[in-house]
Amino acid sequence: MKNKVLAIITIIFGLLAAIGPKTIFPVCKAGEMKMRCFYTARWELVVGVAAVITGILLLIISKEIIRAVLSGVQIILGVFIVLIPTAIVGVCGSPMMHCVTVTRPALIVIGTLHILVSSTALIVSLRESSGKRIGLKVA
Amino acid sequence: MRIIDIAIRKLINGKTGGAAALIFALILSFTAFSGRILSDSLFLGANNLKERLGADIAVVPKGEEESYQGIILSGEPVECSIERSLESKLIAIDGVEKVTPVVYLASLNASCCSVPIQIIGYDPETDFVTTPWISEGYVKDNKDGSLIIGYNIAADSEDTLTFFGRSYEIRARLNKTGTGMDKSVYVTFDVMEQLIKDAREKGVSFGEKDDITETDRITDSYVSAFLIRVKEGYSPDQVTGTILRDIPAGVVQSKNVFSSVTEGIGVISDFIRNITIAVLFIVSFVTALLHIYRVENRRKEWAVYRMMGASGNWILELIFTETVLLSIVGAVAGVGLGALVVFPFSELISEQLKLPYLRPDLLEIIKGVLFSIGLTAFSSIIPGIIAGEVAAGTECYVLMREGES
Amino acid sequence: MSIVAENIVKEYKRRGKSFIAVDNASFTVPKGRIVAVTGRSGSGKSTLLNILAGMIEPEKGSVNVDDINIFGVKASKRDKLRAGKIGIIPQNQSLISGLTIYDNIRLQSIFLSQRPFLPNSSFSGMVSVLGIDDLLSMYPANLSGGEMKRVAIARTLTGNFDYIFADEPTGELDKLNSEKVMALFRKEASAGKGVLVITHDDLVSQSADIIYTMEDGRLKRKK
Repeated sequence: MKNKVLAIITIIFGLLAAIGPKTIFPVCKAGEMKMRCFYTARWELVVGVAAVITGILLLIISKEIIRAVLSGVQIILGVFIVLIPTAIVGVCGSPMMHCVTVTRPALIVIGTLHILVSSTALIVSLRESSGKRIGLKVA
Repeated sequence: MRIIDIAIRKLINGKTGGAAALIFALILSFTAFSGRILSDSLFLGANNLKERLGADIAVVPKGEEESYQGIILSGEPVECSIERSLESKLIAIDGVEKVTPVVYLASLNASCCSVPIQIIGYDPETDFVTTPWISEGYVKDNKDGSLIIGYNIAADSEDTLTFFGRSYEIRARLNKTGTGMDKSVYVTFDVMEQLIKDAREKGVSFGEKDDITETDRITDSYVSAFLIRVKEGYSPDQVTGTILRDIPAGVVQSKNVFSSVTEGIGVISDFIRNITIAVLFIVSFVTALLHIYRVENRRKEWAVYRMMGASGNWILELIFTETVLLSIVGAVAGVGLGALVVFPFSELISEQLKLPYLRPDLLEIIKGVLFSIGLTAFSSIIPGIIAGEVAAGTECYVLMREGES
Repeated sequence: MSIVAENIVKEYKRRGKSFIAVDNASFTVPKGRIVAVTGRSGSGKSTLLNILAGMIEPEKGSVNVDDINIFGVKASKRDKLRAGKIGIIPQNQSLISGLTIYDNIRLQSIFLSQRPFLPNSSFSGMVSVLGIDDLLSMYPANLSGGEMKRVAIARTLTGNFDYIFADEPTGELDKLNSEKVMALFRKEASAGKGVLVITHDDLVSQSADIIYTMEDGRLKRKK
C-alpha cells in the first residue's frame, strides 16, 4: 500500500515536470528567436515522461530489488528535473521573466520533492528485501 | 538501552502512532519559518531602500509625484519633463546642500526583456544617488556611451543592450536593492541625449518639441526631476515648504516614500505574526489530542513495560521523549518545505507584494530555522506531559486480563 | 523463602451480579520447585496469578513474598518488589513492536539495575535451546505466535528472577518446544528459583513438583 502511494506520487510529479512548463507554469513564449527556457521545457518533457513510465513500472512490479533500482532511477530523474532549468540548460537571464520567477522555482520544488519521495521508496524497498525471510512468511 | 534509544528506534520503524502529530508539527514549523523569512525579507528590503534613497527630496513636475514613487518601488517606467532652468533656483534655496538632475525615459522594447524598462539619466558631475551603489565585481572602464544596469537586468551575450535600435555597452551592474531600481538602466546625460534623439525618431517624445533645434542638447532644457540633499541642521519639511512656495513643481519627500513602504510591511508582518500565533495554539491543542489518542492505542505496550518493572515516571519519560522527537522531526520537515517555497519563489513573491524584498543572509536564516524548530518542540512539551500521564496510569494487569475468557 | 498465599478471595461484578473469581485459595510457591495450577479456561487461574504477583488486590487474604506482606505496603513499593523478584511470562503476545528481538530480550534488564544484561555463553545457550538464534535481528511483526512466546520466555529468563510466573507458556508451542521450555524451567528450579506455571496442558502439569487444580475459583492440591 505504502509502495503504491509513493509510486503514484512520482507519476504525478513526472506529469507536472513534463507538461507544467508548457501549461501551468509556462516558459516565455517563443518568437522567431527560441530562448533557453524553450529548450528547458522540451527537456523537462523528456525527463518527465521518463519519470511517469518509471512510476508506472514501480506501480506494477512487486519484486523488491527491481523496485529499488527503479527508485534509484527516479532519484536520478529528479536530479535532472532540478538541474535542467538551473545548470544544464537554464532559463532567461532577466529575473523579470516568467520562466525565472515561476517556471524555474516550480521545477526546483517538483524535482526536490520527487527526489525525496523516490528516496523514501528506495529505503522502503531495500528494507523489505532484507527483512524478507527465506521460506514461508508466517501470518 | 536508554529511553531515547527506544524512542528513536520506534520512531524510525514507524511504530509510535505519531504520523498525524508529526504532520501538525510540520504545519506549525512551516508557518513559523516561511512567515519569518517573509517578514525578514521585507524588513531588509525596506532598510535597504532607506539607504538607497540617497536624496531627501525629489522635485518632479506637478502631478507626477505618484509616478516617481512607482519608479523607486516597482520600476514602473515613467516619462515626464520639467525645465532645467529650475536647477539654479533650487541650489539657491536656503538649506539645500546638493542638487542633481535626472532624466526618465521609458524604452520601447529592450532586447533583454519582454517589458519596457526605465532608463534613468544622471549627471555624472553632480550625481550623489546612483554612482555610490555600483557593484565592485562588475566594473569596466568608464567608456563613453556605456550603461550601468540594475541588478535584475540581463545583458546580451556580448555585454550590450539595445535601445531604439542602437547598441550600448554595459559598464557596471548595481547591487541588488530589492526595489524597482533593480529593473532600471542608468546612463549619463551624454548617452541620454542619444537615446532621446533615437526615441524621437521612433515617435517617442521627450520635452517640448517646438523649441529644440537639432544641435541643442535636450537635457540642457529639460530633465525629468531634481534630486536634492538637505544641509545638516535643516529639516526636509522646511526646505519642502520653501520649494512649494517658490517653485512651480511637485515635491516628494523620501521619508514619505519610506513610510508608505513601512506601513505596507507593518500590515503584512502583523498578519504573519497573528497567523503564527493562531497556528501555534491550534496545533498545540490538536497535537495534545493526537498524542493522547496514540497513547491510548498502545495501552498493551505500557502494560508490558509495567510488567517488566517500569515505573510510572519511566513511561512518562518515554512518551515525553517520543512526543518531542516527533515534533522535532515534523519541525525539520516543515522548515524544509518552507524553504522550498520561500527561497525558489522569492522573485515571484517580491513581484506580487510590490514591496522591497531582500533575502536575509545565512545567519538570519539559521536563526529562523532554530526559531521554528524550537517553537514547534516547545509546543509539544505540554501535550507530551499530558499523554505521558495518561500512559503512566496504565495498570499492568490490563495485559493479563485478556487471558481470561 | 517462598511466596505464601492465604485465604485469597477475589470478587468481580459482572453485569450487576457478583461473581467470585477466587474462592478462599491458599497455597505456596516454594523456591526450588515447579508449581502447576491447572483447570479449565475461566476457572480463575490467571486472576490468581495476578494476585500473587501483586497486580490485583484481593478482597480478603494475604500474599507474602519472602516474608513481606505485599498488600500491606504502598502500591509503588509493591511494584518495585514484584519487579525485582518476579519475572512474568504473560499468556498473550507481549513483545514491543519496532524493536528487534535482541532488543526485546535485553529490554527486561534495563529495569533491573543490579542485574545487568550479559550476552554471555549462558545467554547464547538458552537462545539456541529455544531455537530463536536466527530471529535476533528480526522484528516481532515477522514472527509466528510460537516464536514470540519463546522470545518472551527468553526475555524473562535473562532477568535472573527469584520467581518465575508463566501463564500458559506452552500455549502456541509444539511438543518438542514445550519439552524444551519445561526443561529450562526445571533448570531454573534446580538453581533455587520458584516457578509457578498456569496451564491446561497435561504434559506441563505432569512435569511439575506440586500440582493444584482450580475449579470455579476453588483450589485443590493434587500432588
